[in-house]
Amino acid sequence: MSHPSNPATERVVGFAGQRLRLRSAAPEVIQAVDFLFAPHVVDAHADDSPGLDVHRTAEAYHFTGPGDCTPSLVRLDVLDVVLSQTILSRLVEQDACHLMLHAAALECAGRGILCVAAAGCGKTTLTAWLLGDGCRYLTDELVAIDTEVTMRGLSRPLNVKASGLDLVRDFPWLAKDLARARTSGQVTLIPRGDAWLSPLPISALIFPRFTANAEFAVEALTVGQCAASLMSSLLNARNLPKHGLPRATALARQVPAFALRYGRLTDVSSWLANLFNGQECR
Amino acid sequence: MDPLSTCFQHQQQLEVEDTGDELLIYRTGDDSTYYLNGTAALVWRLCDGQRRGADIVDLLVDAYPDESVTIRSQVPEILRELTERGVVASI
Repeated sequence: MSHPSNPATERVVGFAGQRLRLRSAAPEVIQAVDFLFAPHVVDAHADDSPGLDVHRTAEAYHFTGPGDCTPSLVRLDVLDVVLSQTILSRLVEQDACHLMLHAAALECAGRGILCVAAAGCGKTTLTAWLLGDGCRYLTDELVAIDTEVTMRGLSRPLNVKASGLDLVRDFPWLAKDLARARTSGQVTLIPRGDAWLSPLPISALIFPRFTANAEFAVEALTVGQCAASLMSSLLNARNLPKHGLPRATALARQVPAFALRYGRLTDVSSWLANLFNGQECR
Repeated sequence: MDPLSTCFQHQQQLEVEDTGDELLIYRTGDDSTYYLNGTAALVWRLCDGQRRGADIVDLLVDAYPDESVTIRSQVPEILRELTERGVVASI
């Protein structure tokens, strides 16, 4: 069924062929969607996408909608971060075509770098750092990969946790973006204006882990090791044939993969520069 | 449990992807994925519900006589780990 669109109270977020309609009479909710997902806000006219409704009371926001990942009550001070996560989860749970990975992604000199790591491994900080090397931002959270080994990133603001904020604040290439940043709970959301939005072939997979004071170490991963690591970050396994195992393995066969342990961000920059000058990428 | 005197079979509700020497096993019950290197994959393939751990050791020692010491020490450990991970069951 189609719904009439109302720019003041509705937004539709589109990503990798999926759409989610959000409705709210609270202007700050609509503003939050624009802040979080501006590049992905699409024309809402005559759209019959699944819906998410957000209603504000004096104490909290109430989220209602189908699906098991919709929080019912949200504190006023964490709207941005919960809204971001809820929209992301709803987009993922609908998708049965792509590998939806919890990952960061960058474009570096025409090559796509997929950066896969569990929460707390320094993924966002590394992504923010590599922007200073001239890389373009795709995402720090969600990547959709098609069967052609091409990826799209959900371009939301960098989600910098309190532990990484002091470091990221000193990155001069983020100065303009930091001026537009918003805080939500313990997270600082830094919008990136020149994000890469087009599909991008993946040239290398990296699995970084920050370890304080560690010597830089690189291990080339086997197909099995890489595919297993990809599976641990796969968000829509339940929607895919054989839970995504064949797709993850196919990706691991086609793209070189490396586990990185680093204590200094500059070491990663140097290694990536050498990687691109060598023959290890697609 | 003494792995050498126990028979092992593959658990149910597993998705298996063969990458060559290695295996990926996805357990549908808890959406977890396990990576088996070449040796562990070989042992897993030999868990047919008929063979005891000792039979698996004998088969591998016959096939790789130069590695007999390593095989005798590693196979019981691998069987214990596969059991703990829930990808094989002792019978």
